[in-house]
Amino acid sequence: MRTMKRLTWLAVLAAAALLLGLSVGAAAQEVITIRAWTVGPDTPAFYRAENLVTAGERLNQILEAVGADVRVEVDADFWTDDWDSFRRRVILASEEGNPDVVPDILVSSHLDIPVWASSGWLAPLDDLIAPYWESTYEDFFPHLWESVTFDGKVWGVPQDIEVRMVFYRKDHLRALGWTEEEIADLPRKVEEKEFLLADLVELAKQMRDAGLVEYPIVHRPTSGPDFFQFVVAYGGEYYDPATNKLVIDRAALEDTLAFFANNVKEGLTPDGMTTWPWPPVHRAIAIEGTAGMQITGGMWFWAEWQRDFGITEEELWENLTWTLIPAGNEKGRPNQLGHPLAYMITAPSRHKELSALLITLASSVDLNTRHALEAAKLAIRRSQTAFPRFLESEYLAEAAKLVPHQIFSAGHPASGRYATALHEAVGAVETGALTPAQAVDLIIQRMRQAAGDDLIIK
Amino acid sequence: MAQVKTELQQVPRFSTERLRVEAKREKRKERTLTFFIYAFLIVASLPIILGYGWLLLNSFSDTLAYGVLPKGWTIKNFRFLWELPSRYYPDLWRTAWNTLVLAVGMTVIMILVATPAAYVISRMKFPGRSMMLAMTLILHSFPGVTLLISLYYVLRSLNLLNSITGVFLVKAGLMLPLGIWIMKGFFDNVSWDVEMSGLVDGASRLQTLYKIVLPQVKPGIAAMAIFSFINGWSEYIYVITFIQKKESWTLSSYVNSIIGDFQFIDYGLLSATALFYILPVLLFFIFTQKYLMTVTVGGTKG
Amino acid sequence: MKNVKRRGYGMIFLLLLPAFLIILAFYVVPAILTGTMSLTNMDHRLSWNFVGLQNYKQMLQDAILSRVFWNTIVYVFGTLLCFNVTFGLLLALATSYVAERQGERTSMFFRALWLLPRFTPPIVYGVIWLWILDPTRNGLLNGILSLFGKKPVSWISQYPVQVIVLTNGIIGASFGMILFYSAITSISREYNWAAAVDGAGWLQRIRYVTLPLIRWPLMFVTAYQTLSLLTSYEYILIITGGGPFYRTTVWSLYAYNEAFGGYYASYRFGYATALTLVLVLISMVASIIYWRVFRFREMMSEPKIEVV
Repeated sequence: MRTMKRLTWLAVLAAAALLLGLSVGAAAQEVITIRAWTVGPDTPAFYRAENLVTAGERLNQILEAVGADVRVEVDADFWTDDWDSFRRRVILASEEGNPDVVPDILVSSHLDIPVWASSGWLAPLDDLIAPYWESTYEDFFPHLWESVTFDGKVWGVPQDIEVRMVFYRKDHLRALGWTEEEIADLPRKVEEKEFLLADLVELAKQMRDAGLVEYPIVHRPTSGPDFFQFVVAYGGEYYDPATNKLVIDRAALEDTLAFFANNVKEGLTPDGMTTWPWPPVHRAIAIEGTAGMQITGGMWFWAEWQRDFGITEEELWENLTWTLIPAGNEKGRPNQLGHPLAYMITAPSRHKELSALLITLASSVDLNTRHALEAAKLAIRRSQTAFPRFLESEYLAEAAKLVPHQIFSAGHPASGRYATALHEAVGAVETGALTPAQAVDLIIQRMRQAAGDDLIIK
Repeated sequence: MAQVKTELQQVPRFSTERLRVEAKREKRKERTLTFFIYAFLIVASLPIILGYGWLLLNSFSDTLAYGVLPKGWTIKNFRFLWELPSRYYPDLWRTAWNTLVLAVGMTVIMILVATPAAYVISRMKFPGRSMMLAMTLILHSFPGVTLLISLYYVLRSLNLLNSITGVFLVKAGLMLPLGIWIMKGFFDNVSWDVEMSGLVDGASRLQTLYKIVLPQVKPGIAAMAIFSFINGWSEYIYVITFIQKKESWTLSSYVNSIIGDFQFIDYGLLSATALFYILPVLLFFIFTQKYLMTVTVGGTKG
Repeated sequence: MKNVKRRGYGMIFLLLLPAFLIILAFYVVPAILTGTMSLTNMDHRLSWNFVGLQNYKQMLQDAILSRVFWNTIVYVFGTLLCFNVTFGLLLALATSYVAERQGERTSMFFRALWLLPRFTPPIVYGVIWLWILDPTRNGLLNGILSLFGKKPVSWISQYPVQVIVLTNGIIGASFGMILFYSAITSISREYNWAAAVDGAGWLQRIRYVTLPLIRWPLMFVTAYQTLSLLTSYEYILIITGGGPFYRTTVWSLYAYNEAFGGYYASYRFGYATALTLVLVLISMVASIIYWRVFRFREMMSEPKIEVV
């Protein structure tokens, strides 16, 4: 009996060993998994993750054609919650630095680059993207590389870019007697400094006096980098790339805050503007026309207005036009702020070259374009502007004209706090809690807390 | 009023007439009281009725007039029940299940752990009793958010990151002090005589606890259960921070994703998902009220 | 004798152990860690650089902080007195009255109604209120005003403090309501019968029988909700965002903003936890005051079972 048992046991073992050997032999193909965490949170931007997956598939096609035994699997996550929880997630994972937890590729705001790079969580990309420079990256709009450069090195590959602008209600312009030609000429006038912020205020006053609108000028209620556009419009600066310090330009800041304060005083902007929730702001400018101008608009509103409010594109073309943020004075210039997102490679990643290759493949003209079309964003690469599918969107083509005047938020770790402080100051002067001069002092105090000595105060 | 008074004066003190008049007066007083109480309840509840009514209507509305008023009848907003908003959302029913596990897990722990602890603190004397109770009150003054980073370290060292279990243990830990205080209050009110008689009859302490004392604190358990369930069901920040896998998400993260960063809101979809989210808790509340709020009559005067 | 004592203590130990362990691991330890964090200047890098009392010194120089302090006091005691305790009690009494006279269903309806805000996701609750308080004609209140031909009022910027007290109070009232209702219904029926026999009407019964018997829940709710309000900020964050220029920023919101708030979170965990510790201190002071005033020690009547 015992020998029978032993023989059966041996037979089972042998069979198992044979099966194992066969399976191992069959799976001689190696699969490398690349993990990516991409931020959303807006649903239409899902191509951020999808493009990487497609890049992996295209790479696999090449590998198969070549006959290699390796395949690549891209596990891309698209974060649908908010920015804060995404950043927390990255921070907590990166602090540990475990390559099995930290993903290989991250897609996030360029503002994260100074913060994450200075913490040693990102890998510098100069050498990694050098092999693909001529084929791919040279095609990128040159100014975009500024936004991903920090401390003399490149840390990200631009993935997403938009423009911000001032929206005007055409129906009210017409009611004031503007002809179609004059309306169409407005963007040029702004660009050539024939239409300044003072003219904008005049226009608003005309709308107010004619009783056309309830809120001649509205702007974004929540915190954001848009207010720096006005600082530049008044000839100020907020960042010195040479020394990597933030600049507090007293004069320009005071002019900016005085602009917002006066608008409230003249009854052009409601004094509680910073407490408005977003939906009424959108409705006022896009649907009901109770607003005359939205001075901190963004191009992605266009797609969202259609999706969430059910407005057709024809109605939007009929009622709205846009321009750069006009200059405020002689020193200033018309401009608009962009907020690029970028692909980044993490420091603990074990597959940096492979990640770089995937990013390059994901940055192909057609993939970048499908993202731009879906999420109402602009071209990253110059050849995109000649790409047929891209040209199909009249809106994108028009918006792209604003690109040459683009500015970016400062590439400094405390840049975000600067934006918050400026927004706070705008709220303060609008509600009348502080005068513009006092508000500038508040900004200085806040920034001293945030950036310590990394400040230049003019 | 004056008429009644004179009526009374005319009637002799102890006649049936007087009783009848007094009964009428009582009835009028009672009716006025009932009226005022109902008026109070309805007026006070108006904001809630209007607000949630709007939510309800929105979930069935096609578009919104002026962006806020429901217009057009449709159930297309409920398509989220069978259709994901996008490929990158976790499965709705899986998410709902996770939420249920979290809420029920927390409630069960609260009941099983807080009740005996509260009984002991209420009935038995031991050193450090008051101090323990005081400490638990103090702990409540730490806002959950500031414990976030520290909790991350604790969970990581216990290897409980990325799991629903970790989250409901944390939640239970944070809510236990409250549970103990609530239950202690109810245990204090149970008359000692009843318990004593059980002990005298030869039952062990545990038996008296189970058979005699517990039924009398059922309302307390009901209160604690409903708070725990609500708390567990509504948990958002710990889930989103400690759980990386989308498959382990709960409904609160799901709803949050639908809203996005608050700039644009699809009111219809939001309302529909909110209703889906609220319904189970409502049902749980009705369930606990029906079965746990019955108080035993009898025993002795305490 | 010794055996009995050990067995008695043994049972206490066993019954208390699970609670003790869970609270220790998930509350006490993180609290201590957080306290230690306040002595560092930790930021997003999560590095423990000890800097002593620097964060606390910085608090003394923070100009906004005194305003935040007064906001907090007004908000906490305003909401507490108006809503959490008073309304909670009124609701419990009203619904118990309805339960007695008209039946369970109506009572349950109102209690469920008032519980709704508490388990609605904060964002959804915020959306509802933002509709009610919308500054344009499309909001509920302004819509009603426009029916009477009046101009829309920007509620949030004109009456920010009232808004946060109201919105938080409606949520807070349900805590007291549930607790008081449970307490009221668990009052032995003999008391009520005795009072009825003595000729007491409903109102008198409430005054002489019910209220005294629910003293413990009343005081507990007051003390506990004070602490809850001191640490609550979510709804304020969503509805007023801290109000027109800090007018509704309360201490806990301020601490949150230092850690996670603003356009780009500052991640100043060191400073934020220091602010939190001060909040804890304030809460401790409040708790001690409550302990004395309510004579909690008295309420913790001598236990019925002596171990030895």
